[in-house]
Amino acid sequence: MNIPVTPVDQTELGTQQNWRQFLLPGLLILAFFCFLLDIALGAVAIPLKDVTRIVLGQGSENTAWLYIIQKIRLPKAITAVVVGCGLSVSGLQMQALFRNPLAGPSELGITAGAGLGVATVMLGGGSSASLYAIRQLGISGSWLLVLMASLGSALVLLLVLTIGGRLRDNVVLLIVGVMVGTITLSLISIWQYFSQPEQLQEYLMWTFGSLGGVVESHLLVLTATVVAGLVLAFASSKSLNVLLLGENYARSMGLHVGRSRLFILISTSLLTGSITAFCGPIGFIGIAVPHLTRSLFDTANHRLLIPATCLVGTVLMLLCDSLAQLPGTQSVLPINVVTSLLGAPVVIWIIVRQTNLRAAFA
Amino acid sequence: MNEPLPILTTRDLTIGYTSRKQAGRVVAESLTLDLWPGQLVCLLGPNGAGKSTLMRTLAGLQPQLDGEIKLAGENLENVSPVQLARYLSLVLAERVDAGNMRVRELVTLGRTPYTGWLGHITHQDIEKVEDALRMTDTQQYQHRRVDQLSDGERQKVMLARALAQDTDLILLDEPTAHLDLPNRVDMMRLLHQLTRQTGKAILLSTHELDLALQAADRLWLLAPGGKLATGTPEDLVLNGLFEATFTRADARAGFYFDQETGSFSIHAAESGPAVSLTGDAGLIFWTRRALQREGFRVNQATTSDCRIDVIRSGDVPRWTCTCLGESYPYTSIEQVLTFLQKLKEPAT
Repeated sequence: MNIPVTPVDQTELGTQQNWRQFLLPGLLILAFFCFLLDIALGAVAIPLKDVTRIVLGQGSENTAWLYIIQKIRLPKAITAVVVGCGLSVSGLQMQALFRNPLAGPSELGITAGAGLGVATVMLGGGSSASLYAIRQLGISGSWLLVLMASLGSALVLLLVLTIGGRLRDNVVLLIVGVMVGTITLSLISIWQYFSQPEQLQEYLMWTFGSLGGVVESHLLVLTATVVAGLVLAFASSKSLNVLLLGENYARSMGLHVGRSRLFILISTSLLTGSITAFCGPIGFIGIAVPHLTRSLFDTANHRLLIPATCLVGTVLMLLCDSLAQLPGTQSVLPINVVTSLLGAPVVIWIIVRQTNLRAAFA
Repeated sequence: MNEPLPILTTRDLTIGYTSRKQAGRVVAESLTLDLWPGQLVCLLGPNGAGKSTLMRTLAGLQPQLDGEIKLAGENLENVSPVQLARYLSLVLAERVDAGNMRVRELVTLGRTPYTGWLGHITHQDIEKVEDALRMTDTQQYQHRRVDQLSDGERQKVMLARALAQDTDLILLDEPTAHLDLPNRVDMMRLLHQLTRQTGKAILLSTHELDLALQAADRLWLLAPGGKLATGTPEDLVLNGLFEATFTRADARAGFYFDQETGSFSIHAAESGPAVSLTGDAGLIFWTRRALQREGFRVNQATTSDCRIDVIRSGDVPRWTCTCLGESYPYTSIEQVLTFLQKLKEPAT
């Protein structure tokens, strides 16, 4: 029965390879246009021509437009790019680490862990440590926030890894992640209960998630941390490939499993922690983008997947942000709402498509 | 060729688990084993005898409790993980779900111990991968996705990956566990052929006693309680060690090892009437099986209640049953059994 199938499969593969060569450059061009679109959309209408000129550094006669783009929209768009890359690669690494298609930063409670870190700074430090105060503190304050959020992420990741690492069941791991996330959120709730109203407001605003709250000095810290995380992730690409076969095979091929896991854990925590610290919890990008990328590129090689995931994440995040502007209106939706609306169906799609998952539910 | 040295040796090896609950559960001790190049060795033993523990210990996945393991003359504990990966490769019983990985990509992962930190593939790597695909006859599906393979194909691909790792020793933990009979035979044939072609040493644990007796150069028999016997399959059968490893202590086990056929047989109650059987050897074999299943005592004595003579006339087998001086001709075992049932009834 296989004999007639195989040649068809191969010719199909041939044509697939042909169009897949253009995927990476195509996505790069798409990302650039999405970047421009994201900057062009907003409460004040600015013609696309002027947007392009300002972005390319040619200036504009209209100083108001220049200010809006340089001080508000450009940082926000760059933040979107950084968040898109960071969260997606973080999710990609977690899916390889747990060998589980349902792993992702928000699903396994890693963002909740980062939230705990943020709460420690915002609620725990007394009134002097509100987000406003942190902004006044500038760079050193942002580093503190990043550090605490990353530590929180690492803590939860370590916990889920210890409990769920030995469970091969996809769904059980997800439940463990949700439970650990719930415990973390409950801790934060208790903390909130005993906090000052001003601090609470700051924290609640943070939980909505926003790309616009990242000012230039923060952006530097955020970008530096995310780039470090991405470099670490790319350096782990060989380990990620080998880990797909499971721990025993990985070890038999000479991989230092513990060391590789530590690197992946650090990278994931840095990416998720720093992004969550500045932009709030942003759901579903981390789980959805790796899947979209895998089905687009049809590969399991992380050396290709990591840059590809960055591009797909960038495009998707910029589109989400453009949608959040509600084109044609003056209002802006919280970014978390948009990513959830787009991302949750992807998760449902994975569960329905995976036969072994369906068997687990039956 | 100069004097070959064993690839793997163990001296007074103790294997087991160090858990916090029970301080050191010993599975087997004082194991002394040698594994030579070009040999196919089968590790046999009943469930729970510690086959997997021994395999995992030899593969360095689990620490030994005592004694020494030497791999290519070096103490296993001193071999670095990367060096170990160049000495021995593994095929495990666990199923690999590697997303949308292609067969070729999976086999190429076998080159991991030789590639740089980013996993860049050289011409030499590609050559080794091609060799591995060719030797396991998996080229025709090298572009298929791993999750679309049948169990037999998948196991061959995992073997190709181990071959691409280019090690002198390959360990396989129950490689035939999920396969149907033709695939199991094919796998054993392939492993046997590989030892001859490449001079690699292959050690596999398996429950396939029949196949192991046929294909293995040596057997390692691990009995419950950690008793180990090694030797050529035929020697182990003839000196009774093979049977001793698998027969249970209690007499009600209900099966025995038949040295004539080299397989385990179910004990029938053997309380029925005696039947003597003469005739064509091949036909006697199958007739006896049917009769024993039905509880008849089969022998060659002429004093039996009933005599059956079976011969092949032309292409058709014919059974002649002689009972109390009367003869009845039959053309199938089913008819013979129906006739003998009548004989049984007044007796009981």
